[in-house]
Amino acid sequence: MGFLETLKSIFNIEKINIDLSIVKIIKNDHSKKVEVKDNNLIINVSKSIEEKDKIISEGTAFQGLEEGFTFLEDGAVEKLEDFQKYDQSDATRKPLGFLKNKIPSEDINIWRAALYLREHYRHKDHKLTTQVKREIRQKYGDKGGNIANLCSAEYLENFLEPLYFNLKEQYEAEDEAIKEFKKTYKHVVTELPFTIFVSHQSDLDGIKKEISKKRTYGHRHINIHGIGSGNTKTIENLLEELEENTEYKIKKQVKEEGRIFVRLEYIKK
Amino acid sequence: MEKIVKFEFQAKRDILHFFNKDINKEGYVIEKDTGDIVPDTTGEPIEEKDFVGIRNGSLIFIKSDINSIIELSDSLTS
Repeated sequence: MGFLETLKSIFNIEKINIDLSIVKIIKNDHSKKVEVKDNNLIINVSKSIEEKDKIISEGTAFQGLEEGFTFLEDGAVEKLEDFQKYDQSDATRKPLGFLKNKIPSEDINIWRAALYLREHYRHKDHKLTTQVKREIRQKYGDKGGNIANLCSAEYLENFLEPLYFNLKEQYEAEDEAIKEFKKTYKHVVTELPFTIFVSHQSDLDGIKKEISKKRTYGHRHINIHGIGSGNTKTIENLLEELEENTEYKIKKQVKEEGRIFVRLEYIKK
Repeated sequence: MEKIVKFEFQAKRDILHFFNKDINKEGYVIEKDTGDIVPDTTGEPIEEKDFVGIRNGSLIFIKSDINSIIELSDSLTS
């Protein structure tokens, strides 16, 4: 007897001859103990004391797992469906197709999460965006946070892809181009050599120190990004101070839809 | 979506009981018989608030974070 048949037997509804497609476990005082609705078997565990004991003693839930069932909370089902919708879309598949075989395989899932985050950022779902970024950082540390920020700021399309195609023109063998790309990729996602993402934890002194540190990498420009009014204000304050600075000039400044982007150029002496 | 047993947030502990698991005073998922803490796939303890499900493969406990959702998605489509 399979898992679904066992459940029907425990709840004495074997005679109901319906192909069950979904099992839903609920817990409340107003629903029936068991119900079959639109091919769904709905079990109310708050009214199923004996049946619960039977499920436990007979190992029915384990049987379900062995048959390939996954037990999943409603909220997680929604999250899974939402993730899969974006993960299977062209907006994710295309960039992932580009990255495959060009970056370490362990980074692919960081990019999948980052692309998912970016879609929600574009839809202004800031609560989810903040949560997903925190979860990426928790699992993958600074590199995860860097990839999430680089992805949201479109460095994949505007830096990594052009970089690879330039290298491909430069090197005859594709392997060589990929090898060089991997080197730069690693440097970019671990060090952020020419990019600063200002967060609510950043202060002016810290950002200035970071600018000086990044100068040692030898790039001509440095890009500074900020999202939200607080971070925008921090960057504007920085720019006021930099106006008197003779080492950098402000090459570009874009402020739109709650975000700010500034490109500084080092002045050669 | 196939082969999913959906459960409400309120039924979380009942689902854990189905698998002989429980929650200790500190709020972590434990073995009902021994009180031992049940780890997630990375070996970390699982807080009740993070637990969202169980899948096959030596009883894998699913957490609510995006990284676990990606692993789950891959396990369901593989």
